[in-house]
Amino acid sequence: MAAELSLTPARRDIGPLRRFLATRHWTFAAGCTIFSIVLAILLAGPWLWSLDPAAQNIVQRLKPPSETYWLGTDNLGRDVFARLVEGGRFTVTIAAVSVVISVVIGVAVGILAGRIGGWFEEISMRLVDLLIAIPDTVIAIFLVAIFGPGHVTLIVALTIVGWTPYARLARGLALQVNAMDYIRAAEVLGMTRRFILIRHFLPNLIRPISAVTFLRFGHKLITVGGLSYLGLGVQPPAPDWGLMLAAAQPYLDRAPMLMIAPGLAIFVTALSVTWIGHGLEIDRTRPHN
Amino acid sequence: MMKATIPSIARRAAPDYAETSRRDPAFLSVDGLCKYYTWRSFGGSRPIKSLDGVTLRVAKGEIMGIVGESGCGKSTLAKVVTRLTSATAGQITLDGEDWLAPRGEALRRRRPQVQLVFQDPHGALDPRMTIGTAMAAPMAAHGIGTPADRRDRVLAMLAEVGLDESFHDRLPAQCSGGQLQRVVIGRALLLEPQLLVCDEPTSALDASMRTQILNLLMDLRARRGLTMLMISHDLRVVRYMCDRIAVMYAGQVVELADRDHLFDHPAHPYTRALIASSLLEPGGIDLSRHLREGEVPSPLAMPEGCRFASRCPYAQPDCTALEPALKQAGSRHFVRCRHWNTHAAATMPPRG
Amino acid sequence: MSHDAETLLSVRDLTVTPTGGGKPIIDGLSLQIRRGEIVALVGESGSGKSMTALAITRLLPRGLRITSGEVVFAGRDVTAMSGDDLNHLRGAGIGMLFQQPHAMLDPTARVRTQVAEPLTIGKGLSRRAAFARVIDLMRSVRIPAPEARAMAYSHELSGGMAQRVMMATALAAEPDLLIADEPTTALDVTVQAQILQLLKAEQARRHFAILLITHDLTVVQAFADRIAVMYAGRIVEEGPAARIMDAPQHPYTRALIRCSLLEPEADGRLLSIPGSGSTARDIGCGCRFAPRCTLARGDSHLHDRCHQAEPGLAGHDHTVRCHASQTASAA
Ligand SMILES: Nc1ncnc2c1ncn2[C@@H]1O[C@H](COP(=O)(O)OP(=O)(O)O)[C@@H](O)[C@H]1O
Ligand SMILES: Nc1ncnc2c1ncn2[C@@H]1O[C@H](COP(=O)(O)OP(=O)(O)O)[C@@H](O)[C@H]1O
Ligand code: SF4
Ligand code: SF4
Ligand SMILES: [Mg+2]
Ligand SMILES: [Mg+2]
Repeated sequence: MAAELSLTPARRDIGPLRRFLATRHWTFAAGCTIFSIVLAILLAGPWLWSLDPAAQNIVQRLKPPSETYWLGTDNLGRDVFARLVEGGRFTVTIAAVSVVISVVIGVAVGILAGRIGGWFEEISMRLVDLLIAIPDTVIAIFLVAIFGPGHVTLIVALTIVGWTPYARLARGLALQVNAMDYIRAAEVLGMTRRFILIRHFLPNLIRPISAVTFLRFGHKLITVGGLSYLGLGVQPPAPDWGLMLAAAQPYLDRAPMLMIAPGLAIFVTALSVTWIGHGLEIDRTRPHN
Repeated sequence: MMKATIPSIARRAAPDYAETSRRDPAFLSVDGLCKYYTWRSFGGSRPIKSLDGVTLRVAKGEIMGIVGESGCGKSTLAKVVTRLTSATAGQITLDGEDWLAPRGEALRRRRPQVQLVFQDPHGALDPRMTIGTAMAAPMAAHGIGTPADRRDRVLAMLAEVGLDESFHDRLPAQCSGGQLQRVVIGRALLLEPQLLVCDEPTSALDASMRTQILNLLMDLRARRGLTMLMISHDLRVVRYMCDRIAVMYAGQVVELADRDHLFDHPAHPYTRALIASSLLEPGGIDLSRHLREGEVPSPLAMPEGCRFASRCPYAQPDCTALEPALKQAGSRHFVRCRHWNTHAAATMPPRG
Repeated sequence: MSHDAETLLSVRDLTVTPTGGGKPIIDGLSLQIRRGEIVALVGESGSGKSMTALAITRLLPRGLRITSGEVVFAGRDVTAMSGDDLNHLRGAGIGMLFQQPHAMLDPTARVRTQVAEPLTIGKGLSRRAAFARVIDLMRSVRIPAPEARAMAYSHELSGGMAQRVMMATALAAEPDLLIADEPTTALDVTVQAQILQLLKAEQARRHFAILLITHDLTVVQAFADRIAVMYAGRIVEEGPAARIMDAPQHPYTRALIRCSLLEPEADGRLLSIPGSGSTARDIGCGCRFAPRCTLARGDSHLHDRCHQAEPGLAGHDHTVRCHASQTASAA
C-alpha cells in the first residue's frame, strides 16, 4: 500500500484510489486489519506491557498460560508472549527489508529490460533464469558458512534470489505496456524518457507488482522462520519465531503452547499479508475469468 | 474511355492546391524509402520487405491519400514518417530539411512537427491518465506555456474538436471511441504540427462516428492549413478527403494521381480492382474480371516480376520476368504496370 | 425470394436483461427469417446485434439472460431446449461465422481436422470420407490449392483464407441458417467483396438462410433480401432491402445510409448523426433516437411526442418505429 500511495501522484488519483479501495475483495480489508493488529502489537507491545523476553525464571518453567504469563513460559521460564513479540519484530523486519530491496531491484531491472531490450535484457534475463532456480536456503547456508549468521547475512541471502521473480514479472508487464499504442503516441509526441517510465510504465506495473509483493511477503516470513529453525538465522538466546518453533519441539506434549504460539503467529501474519495481496489483485465488482 | 465513377457520390470541390504546390513543390518528400524488418528462424534470417522503394511528394496544405490492402505497408510508412521506426534505405525531407537525420534529444525536440493519429483511439490513450493530463503533458514536455496556460489551451482545444469541458477530467474508459479519436486529434494539434499522419483514423469507428471525425479533420485542415497523409483501406474515405492518392501494393506505390483523375482514369489493374470492390451495388459486380483468386505475395518472398501478377487478370508472360517501374502516365499520373495503356481503355464495367 | 415460403426462424418479443438487474439490452425484438432468405441486421456497435445472435443460439455470455419472448427455429422452441437438443441445433441447424476468424480456429489443429469436425462428430462420417469431403468444401469456397491448405494450421492463413475456412466448416454441417456476425468487417474491401459474393453463391446453391449482422449498410445493399435496422436494443425499421435502401422511413435509417456512403451534402460536408450511439441502458421514456433525431428537433409538436412516448412498430411488410412516419402514412 505504501508503494501505491507514494508513487502515483495523489492529486488526480483521489477519485480512482477511492474507487479502487471500494471495489476490493473482502480479503483486502480483512488482511489489512489483521496485519495492522499484528504490527501494532509488535511495535507497541514492549512499551505497553514492559515485556522482558530474556528474563529467566527457573521456578516457572513450562507453565501454561496465566495472568502473568499470557502464553505461558518456556523451558527456561521465559515469558513466551514477550519472546513472541520480540521475535516477531525480528522476523517481520528481516522479511520486510529483504522484500522491499528485492522489489526495488527487480522492478528497475525488469522495466529496463522490457523497455530497452537488447543486450541488457539478454544478460539480465539470463541472470534471472540462473538465480531463480536456486532456493534461498542454499544461498543462506552458503553465506552463513562464510560470514556467520546475522541480520545482514540473512537479508543479503534473501535478496540475492529474491529480486528475480519481480524482475521477470516486471519485464513481462513492461513488454505488454511497451506494445501499447499509447507508448507509440508518447514517443511521437516527444515525451521525455522519464515521463514515459514514471507516468506510463510505473502506474501500470504497481498493482500487479504490489499484489505479488504481498503474496511473497508471507512466503518470506515463513522462509525467515525456517532459516532460524535450521539455525541459519538469529542465534539464541535472541528470540525468533522459527527458533521458538525449533526450541519447542522437545516439550511438545508438556507445553503445546510453546509450539502453537509461534506457529500461529507465523500463520496469521503470513495469511494476513497474503490476503492483502490477494485482495489487491481482485476487483469484486468485475467477474474474474 | 469508360469512366469508373461512383455515380451517386457527388464530389467535394477540388481545392486549389495546384497553385501552392507549384510554389512549394515538396513540403514532404519521400524518396526510395525502404523498410526491411528481419525475420529470424532457426535457419537464419530473411528480410521482410514491408516498404520497398516508396517515393512520394506532398505539397504544403495537401492531403495525400494512401490506400491499399492490409499488409501492403501503409502503417509501416506511417511509422517511418513519424520516426517510430528507422528506415532501411531512402530519404525523407520535411520542409527542406533531412527529417531522418535528427536523433536522440534533437529528434525529441523536433517531434511536434510530425504528429500521428492512430487507428484505435482506445489504445492510443493511457487508460490511467485523465484526458486533461494526456493533452497537457506533451506541451509540458516541450516547454510550452505555464500549467495554467496549458490548461486553458487544452480546454480551448477540447472545444475546437467538439468536446465540452467535462471531458477534461474524464478517464478514457468514460468516453466513446469517437470522442477519444477527437481527443487524440486534439492532443496532436496542441503541438501545432506541420504534418499530420492519420493511420486509418476511422476504421475502428461506426459509420456515424466516421463521418463526424472526417468532418472534423476537414474543418481543421481548412482552419489550420494542415498537410496530411491520410492512410486508409477504404476508398470512400480517401475519395472524400484527399487531393492526391497513392495506391500501394506489396510495399510499393503502384499508382499515384490526383484524386479525380485516379477515379476517372485508373490505369493500374489493382486500382481498378479496388474501385470495383467498393462498388457493392444491387446485383453486384463481377469481381473476377478485375481480380484473380490468387494470393498476395509474402513480404518474405517477393516475386521477381510484377508483384500483382498472381492476381492480375491481364498478366502477360513478360510481367513475371521483370519488375515494372513507376512510370509517368500523364502530367501528374504515375503507374507501375507494363501494359497499362493497352488494357486501361476497355476494362471498367459499364455503368448505369 | 418467394414470400409464401415457410418460416424458418421466428423470434417474438425477445428480451435480454443483465442478470444483475437493470434495463434490458435487447427489448421486445421480433424477427422472422424464411427458408433460403437473407436477412441483414444492421446498427451501430452496442445496439445489441451480436447479443441477438447469441440469444438465438442460446450462447449468451454469463451475466445476460433471456427474460421473455420466444425463439422458434424450424418449429421448435429454442428457449425451452436443453443439452443435446442445443448441441444439435448449433451443430447442424444453425451455423455461425464471426468477425475474427482466427480467434475461432484452433491454432493447434490442422485446417482439415477442424473442417471435418462437423462431418465426423455431427454426421458420423469416417475420417477418410470426411477429409475427402473437406477438400470439396474448401474448393467450393474457392480456397486455392485446397489439398495443401487442408494440412496447414490456422495461423498460416491470411484473414480472408481463415474466413473461408470458417465458411467451409459452417457449410460442412449443412445448416438451415447461417448467422454471420460481421464476417467481413476485419477484412479488406477486395477480400470482403469476394467473401460476400462467395457466400451469396453458396446460399443460392444450397438454399440455406442467412442472418447477416453488420454495421455497414453499403455491405448489405447488394446482398440481403430484407434489412432490419436496430437501434439501442430495438428494431426501428424492417422491410425488403430495396425499399429500405431506396425509401428509408426511419430518420435513423436515412442518416445511417447517408453516413455509410460518405456522400458529401450540398455544403461539401458529410452528414453525421449528432451525439454518439447509445446502448439500451441509458434510455429515457420517449423514442430512443430522440436525443439525436433532427426531425424531432425541428418540429416542436413532434418533439414533445417523441420525448414523451415511444412509438410502436407500425406497418405491414415494411415496418417503422417512428411518430413522424406514422403521421405521414396516416395522412
Ligand atoms: N514490427 C514488425 N516486424 C516484422 N514485420 C512487420 C512489422 N511490422 C509490420 N511488419 C510486416 O510488414 C508488412 C506491412 O505491414 P503494415 O505496414 O502494418 O501494413 P498495413 O498497415 O498496410 O496493413 C506486413 O507484412 C507485416 O507483417
Ligand atoms: N455480459 C454482459 N453484461 C451486460 N451487458 C452486456 C454484456 N455483454 C454485452 N453487453 C451490452 O450489450 C449491448 C449490446 O452489445 P452487442 O450485441 O455486442 O452490440 P453489437 O454487436 O450491436 O455491437 C452493449 O451495450 C453491451 O454493453
Ligand atoms: S505489369 Fe502485368 S501483371 Fe503487373 S499489373 Fe501490369 S499487367 Fe498486371
Ligand atoms: S419518433 Fe420522433 S425522435 Fe424518434 S425517430 Fe421518429 S421523429 Fe425521430
Ligand atoms: Mg495498418
Ligand atoms: Mg457485435
